[in-house]
Amino acid sequence: MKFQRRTPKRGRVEIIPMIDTILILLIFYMSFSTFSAKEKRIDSRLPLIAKASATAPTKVALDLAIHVFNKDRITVNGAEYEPTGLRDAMLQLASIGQEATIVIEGDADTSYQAVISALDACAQAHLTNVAFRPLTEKVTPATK
Amino acid sequence: MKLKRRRLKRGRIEIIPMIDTIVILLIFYMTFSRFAEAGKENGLKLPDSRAGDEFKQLPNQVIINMYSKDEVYIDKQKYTVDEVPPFLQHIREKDPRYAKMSLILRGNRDMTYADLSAFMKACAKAKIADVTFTTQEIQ
Repeated sequence: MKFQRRTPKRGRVEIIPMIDTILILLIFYMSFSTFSAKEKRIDSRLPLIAKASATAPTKVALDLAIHVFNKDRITVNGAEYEPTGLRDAMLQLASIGQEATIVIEGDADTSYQAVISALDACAQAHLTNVAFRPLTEKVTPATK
Repeated sequence: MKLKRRRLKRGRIEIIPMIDTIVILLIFYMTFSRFAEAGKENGLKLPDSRAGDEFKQLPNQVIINMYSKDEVYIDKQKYTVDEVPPFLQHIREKDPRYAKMSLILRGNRDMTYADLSAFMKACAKAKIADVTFTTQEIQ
């Protein structure tokens, strides 16, 4: 008996499904690359100015006053710190007492990034009792 | 003349293109539902930070997107910082979910302390003390 030999089909690259697949992969990677910048949250409790101004400043337990001049100049209770060294300083100060009240203040032209960096340093040292002093209020030295 | 009648092709559902279409629609809706998440402004450049918890929005939290004191966005609507307290008061009275309202500040990294100070005054005016600062994780 003579067997009929099958003629092998000539292979070819299917262009249209390949374009579909590439497009889907492109959309997928484009979408998820957007989310790679992960958002974080740092909680704080702002002072209610109406109440704060009604009370005498001496009654405020002001332990640490961080003044952010700009991204390169930060003072803690008058002592100047490098922005990179602020975290270590906060850790050192936190070791003295976790209950420290921190008031962050800045100049009118201080950048928000610099303020958040100071807040970040506090958060890294687990100092959570942080408040901000609005511009109109006078800066008073730390008093116990 | 006898006309030849065409034989009708039997209709059938093409499964593979249907799966392709469904997958594309799924990716599309997944993507844009994330982009439309709770009134976030996508053009904002958030400040960098190392510390911080994972971002999540509670039902009583309102997201404030702030470029400067003159450019504040809440639910895609533009306000100035002075217009924010009456607006917050309005939604607090309208919706019982916001009786104990707190804010999420998504501030642009280029804004100044003067802008932040104006925001803090607006918070005090609206009698809101709980504010969460949104940052971007340092890569």
